[in-house]
Amino acid sequence: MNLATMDNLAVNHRCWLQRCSPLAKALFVLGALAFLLTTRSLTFLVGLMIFMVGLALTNRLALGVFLPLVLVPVFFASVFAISLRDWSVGLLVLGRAATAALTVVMVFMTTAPVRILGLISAPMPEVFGELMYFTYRSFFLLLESLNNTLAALRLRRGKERFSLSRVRAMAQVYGMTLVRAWDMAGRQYDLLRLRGLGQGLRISRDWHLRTWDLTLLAALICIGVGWYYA
Amino acid sequence: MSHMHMSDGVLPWWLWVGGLVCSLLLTLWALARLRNQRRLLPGVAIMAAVGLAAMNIPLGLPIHVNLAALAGIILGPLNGFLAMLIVNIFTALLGHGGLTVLGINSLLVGSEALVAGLLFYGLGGARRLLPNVAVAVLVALMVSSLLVVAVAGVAGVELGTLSAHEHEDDVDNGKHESNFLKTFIIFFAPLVAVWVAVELTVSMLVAGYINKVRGGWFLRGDGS
Repeated sequence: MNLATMDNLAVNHRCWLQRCSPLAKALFVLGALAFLLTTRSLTFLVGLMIFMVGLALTNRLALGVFLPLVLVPVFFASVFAISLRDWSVGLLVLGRAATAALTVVMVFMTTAPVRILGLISAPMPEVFGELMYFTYRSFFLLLESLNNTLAALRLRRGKERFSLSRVRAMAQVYGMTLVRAWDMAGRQYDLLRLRGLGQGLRISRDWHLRTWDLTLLAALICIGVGWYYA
Repeated sequence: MSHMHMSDGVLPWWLWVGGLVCSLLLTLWALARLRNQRRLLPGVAIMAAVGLAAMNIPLGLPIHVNLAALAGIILGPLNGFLAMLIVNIFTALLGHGGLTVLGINSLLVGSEALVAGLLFYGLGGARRLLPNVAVAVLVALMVSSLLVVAVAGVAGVELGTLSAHEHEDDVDNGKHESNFLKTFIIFFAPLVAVWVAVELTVSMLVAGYINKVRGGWFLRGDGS
């Protein structure tokens, strides 16, 4: 799970995609998904994949972080593709999965998570936004404690392969993490409530479009032209 | 990977739209209940955070557990579903499961929380903790796996039609579907067998550990 790495990149990396508004990026993702899910052209999909990698390169995104994330959807889509026993449609399924993941990950890597959570929770009841923020905050608090526990465990047990004793030790780590997190949750929530969460403090949402959004619009038009002629 | 994370472009549009609608309705119902029980909100968020953090715990196998069934047992079915929906939103943003299929993925994983939560409380809750956890988690994982096979079956029909259209031939759809499903199950069954064994073992060990260090923790009644 690269959530911590992604968060760091999304907040601290400087690139032109970061200067685009979250709303424009969300619309770009939806537009790109609509084009790639409605195409049957493998050429278009390959072109779109190259185009997305190109966009990532112009934004100086770390391909070492970016590309491995695409492997998971490709793995799951490959189960469907192989079961189909038709290489042309199989490749179409793989291409769709990989390109969709590339698009979503690229946008997530270049948008401050707080803005994305704001967008996602906008059409939902207020309590959903609170839940998302609280989860995100808790994840980072937990991750630090979890990494310390895992480091201590590695020092004590050394490097080991899969075994029942390892599963047992890891289950105890899960249990300890859960109990610690549960104890922490009440205090953290009270703290956030004191700071105004759920008591009139509004989640800040950025609905403004910016000049850099025109670049995304141009990119989407290029994709649309490619889709039309493919 | 603890369960099948469906990717974009695999399922027919009516299925993923239906999944989004069903997920949305369940979420709104769960949120309406949660609004009146705000003291449970930190618990739901923490369980979602634990679900996300749990993916970082190395088991020595190329799989991770998500503790969805345990979430249903600890938080109750609806709140467990809500926690898993949030986990799915974050994982979808990381490309781990598609964005359009977020609804279906949430229903597949959330079904574990729903079934395990209902069954655990139906069996009498924490009075016979470990046997009840074992039965609830096992049944929940089975239901979730069967749902994955059902969804894959539907996807197979759609992809078969696409394949027939691509080659402009008149393929017997029923035969194609059964071939697709047969191959899919050959790939999916070993993954499921390992996952069920690991998730069940970990869930029981976690429940046992918590019960040992915090006796009576499962008797809080939050999930009821």
